Amino acid sequence: MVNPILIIAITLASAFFIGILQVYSKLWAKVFFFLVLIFDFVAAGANFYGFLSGKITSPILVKIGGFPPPIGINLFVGKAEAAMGFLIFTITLLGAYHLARRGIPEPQGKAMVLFLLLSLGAAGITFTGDFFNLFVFIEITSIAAYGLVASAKTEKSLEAAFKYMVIGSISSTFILLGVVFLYKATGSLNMLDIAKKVKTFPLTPVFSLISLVFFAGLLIELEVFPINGWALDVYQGADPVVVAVLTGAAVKAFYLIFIKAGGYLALPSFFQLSLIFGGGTYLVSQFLAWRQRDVRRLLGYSSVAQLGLLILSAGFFLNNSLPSSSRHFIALAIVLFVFNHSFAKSSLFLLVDNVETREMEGWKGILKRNPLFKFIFSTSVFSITGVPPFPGFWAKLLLIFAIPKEYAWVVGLILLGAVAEIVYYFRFYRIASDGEGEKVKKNLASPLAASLILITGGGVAWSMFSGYMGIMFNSLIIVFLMVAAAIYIFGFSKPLQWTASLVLLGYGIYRFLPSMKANLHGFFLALVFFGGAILLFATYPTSKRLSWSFYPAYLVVIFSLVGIALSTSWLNLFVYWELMSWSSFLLVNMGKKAKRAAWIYAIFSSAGAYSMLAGIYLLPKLSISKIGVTGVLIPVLLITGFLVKMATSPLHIWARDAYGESPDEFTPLLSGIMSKIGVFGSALVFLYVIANISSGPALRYGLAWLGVLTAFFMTLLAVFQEDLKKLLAYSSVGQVGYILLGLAIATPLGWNAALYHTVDHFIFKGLLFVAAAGIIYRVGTSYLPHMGGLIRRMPLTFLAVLIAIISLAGIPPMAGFAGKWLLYSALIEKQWVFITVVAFLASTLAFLYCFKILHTVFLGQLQDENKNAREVPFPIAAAETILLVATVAIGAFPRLLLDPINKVLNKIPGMKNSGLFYEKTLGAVSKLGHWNALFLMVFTVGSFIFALIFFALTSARVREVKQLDVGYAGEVPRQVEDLHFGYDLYAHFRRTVKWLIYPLVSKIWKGIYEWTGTFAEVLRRFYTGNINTYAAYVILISILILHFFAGGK
Amino acid sequence: MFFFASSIALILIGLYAVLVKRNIMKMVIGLSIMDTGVNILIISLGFIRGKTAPIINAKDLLVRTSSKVVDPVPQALVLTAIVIGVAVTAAALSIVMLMYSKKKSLEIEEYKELKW
Repeated sequence: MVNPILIIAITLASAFFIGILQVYSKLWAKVFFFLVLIFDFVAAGANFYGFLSGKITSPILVKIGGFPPPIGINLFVGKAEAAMGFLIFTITLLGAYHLARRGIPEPQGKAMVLFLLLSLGAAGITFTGDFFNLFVFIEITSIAAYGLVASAKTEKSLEAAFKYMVIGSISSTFILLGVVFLYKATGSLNMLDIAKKVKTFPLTPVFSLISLVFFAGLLIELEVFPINGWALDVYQGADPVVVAVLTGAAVKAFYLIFIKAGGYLALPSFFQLSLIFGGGTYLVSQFLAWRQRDVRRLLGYSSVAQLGLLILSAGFFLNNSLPSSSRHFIALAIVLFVFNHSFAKSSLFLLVDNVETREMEGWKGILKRNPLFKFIFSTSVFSITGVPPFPGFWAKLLLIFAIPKEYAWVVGLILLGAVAEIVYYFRFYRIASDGEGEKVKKNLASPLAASLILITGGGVAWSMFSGYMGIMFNSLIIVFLMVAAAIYIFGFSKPLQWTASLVLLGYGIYRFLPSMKANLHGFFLALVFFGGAILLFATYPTSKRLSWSFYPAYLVVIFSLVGIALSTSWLNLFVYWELMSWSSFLLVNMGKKAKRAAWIYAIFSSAGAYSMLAGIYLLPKLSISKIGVTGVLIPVLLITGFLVKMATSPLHIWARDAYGESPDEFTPLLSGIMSKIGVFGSALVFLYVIANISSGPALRYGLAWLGVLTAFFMTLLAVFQEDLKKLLAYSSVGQVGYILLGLAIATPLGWNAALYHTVDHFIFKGLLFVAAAGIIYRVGTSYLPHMGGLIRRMPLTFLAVLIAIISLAGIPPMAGFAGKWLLYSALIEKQWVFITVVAFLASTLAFLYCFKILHTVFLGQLQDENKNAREVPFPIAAAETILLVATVAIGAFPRLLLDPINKVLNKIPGMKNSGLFYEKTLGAVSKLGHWNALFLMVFTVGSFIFALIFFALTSARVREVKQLDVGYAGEVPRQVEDLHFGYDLYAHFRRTVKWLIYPLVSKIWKGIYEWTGTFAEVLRRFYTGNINTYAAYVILISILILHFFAGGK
Repeated sequence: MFFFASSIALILIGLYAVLVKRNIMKMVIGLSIMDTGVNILIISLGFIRGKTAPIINAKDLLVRTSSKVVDPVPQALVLTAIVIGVAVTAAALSIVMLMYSKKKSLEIEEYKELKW
């Protein structure tokens, strides 16, 4: 244990000593400066470690000046204070090191003095046990902060310092008055003494008023809306290094004293106060940042918002009516939030210091050329926005689940704000990762340390989290996830990464084989593993051009999917779900033109995930089993999250570009497997939640319409799409709409159809996307009109695509027919007439785009630039072949797939008797009819073979026609023209249905985004920049606080 | 009562300057006046009419000293607060000085670069 007074005294003395020393030797001043900071860091760390390890059991009380408390001043260092002290000095040390590497601004040294004063003031605020002493430390901190903010001596920084100074003075006047009034009311200045007295004290309105004067001062320092104009200006105007330390250390000390005083003074309206100001600040600031162009101010808005969330949490923490276990969780959440925000935001501001420009546009493409910068930036942004496995994610979960259900609306607000946060942070991320930017300065040691601390903290938080929430994480999955991420180190050789990935996946299959039981979980697990392995295999040929992090992210996606499939608790599922969403975001973002698509994908994914989280929060229990709930809110919230991943209309607008622009190596997984995990989740919701509510049938009917309309409209859009991958994207989304329809029918036959189509769609759409990857690799474009005639160059791929398309269109004898047959049987059985009609229409439309693929890619005239195209490379061809064989085999023997599905469905109550049975000559028999797949296959193939033989026998009369060898109405073409008719193949049809393909949904979403942004921009004008106005806001709000929140028992 | 009234009047005058004056120098003066008002307020909280200063020696302790003196704590606090006030004013003035040297203006309208 180190006496905390030593920390303060030594730092204070050294601060002034350095001022003198630097006159004589700048070097020694610097050395001395770091020695002091390191001493502080070590001492504070030793105290914190003492508390952690249990060596120090009771709070450290230090009396000063010989008088025992409550007369004399004393220091009080408990666990929280020790932790905060350690945080303060860690952040200060990082900031100071950064400053020293950059070269402390001239005239040298003064900044060092102020840095020491700032950190000692913050530590004093944290450690002190006396209210007047607190005021003194607040003033020390403030004066040091004014000086530091002004130290850059630019016009902006001086303006910020002046504003800070004016509002800071008003704030400290409030604090001083509050302290003196407190003394007058209680006869003491000692915090513990006052706390003791307050317990026996009549909490009169007058006493509340007195505390409120104090809290009003603190709330100004805590930058609550709308009295935080000065703070935003400081974030914008000051030296980023100074801001990093201010927001990472000093403000957090103010926050700690806010909680402590809240506890000591027992203000009756503390909860309402923190709810209104914390929650309001959080939500408003998240939106105000939307259109912010200045990076520093954007981060300022974000800081203010995070602080608002902290204030909100403080209110819940100190609310006595909450059960103590909840309050314990909230305390943990607060610790994690403070930790997370301090390091992530400091690291971001230190990064900002490396970039010259203030404008966000100047950050364009900055990540590309600066890999270390990219790593730190991503880590920090992910931490702040609460992406797993970073601490902010766990903090958010802990906080949300500790909030009692009667405050569910607060959870709603928190999640809404979180979505808004993702919108602007990832717009920033998108700009920073778009294109090739300039190189930045390389002062990255401190932010790197901060992000490493964050990653460690996230790991620790995860390992402790399951204990808190009583949910078990499958440790095997976590090991696999970690190994998967560790494959990153092989990034220097992509083939090595590929091999390692395959080996890991193979080992995963071996280890998880026992889990692939005949139930819903096992079914999807098998799909993820075997499907993932095939698709991973096919990535080899193009692996050289992939990013270092492609394979790690790919594997994290796969093992997160495994985790989702094996989850037994909704919360567990949510954790893996987020992990999967964000690693897939990284993958999508690797596409060259995918930045915007990835941004929209991130927004929709997280909005869906948070909707799901809200549903999980409202569930009475977390285990995935039959749950009795009432009302449609919970199932709708839950299923929205899954529908986003299935891209069901109207949540589909991310899909076209995310599929179309993501790396070709990843798209098969996105379409083939990841959308199916949405099916899995929806199935769980149907099974365990929707099945038990009274309005279940109506909800199912609604979802069935959603499914079929998705199928219809996406098919229609696919017909007019000119980009191979985007066409397949629409097709994929439409097909998943059928699956949703099958699930919503909720009869055994319907589920048969849904599960069958799930696997089948993986097979043919996986095949098509893999083939597309191969074709694009060979011809270098995915623009359909630039292809054509590739049948000669890629016969195998042609055959594979042909078969896949037959399957896709649901034409016998391929596998797709069975799915369609089952679905229509189920629909007719259910007697949903209109839905059936629309489904038929959609299937018919699908023929159009199926033919379009075949025609524009393979048939017709070969383009000159594709003359040298060859068959797709071996691993892709192999994957094609495997999937091709699967399609044909299942087409001939559908029981290969239907039998396992029946086994799965037999385990599910109410799904047992599908009425489907098999007979030798009739084949599969349902109530409505029968079909013999093998017979169909033999017959069809036989007819083709017969025709082929006939053709072979008569081929003597067939002559191959060269392009110029045509008689065209008697004319002979003189020159080689492009006779391939590829562009806008269905122009006439397009004109007919123009009104149907009007992009209404995306216009609505865009409108929401634009209007919210405009609204935020107008609201932001509120911060006029005029200090008179700011001061007026402060006075006005303080009067309102005093007026509305005073009121005792 | 007079002390209370005058201190609150001083605080209000100071606030008026901060809220209304367009000249940053005058705003700093306002802050300083506000500070003085707060100090007087604190003193007057501990003030008891007719009592003496809390300076005590051994002889005084023999008689019931505590009934003769005003509350010493506010006075001690004010001493600290005055020092802090001076420091803040000094810091403020140096910032104002730097601001003036950059833009040659003390008008607050000139310092609205940071906003929104």
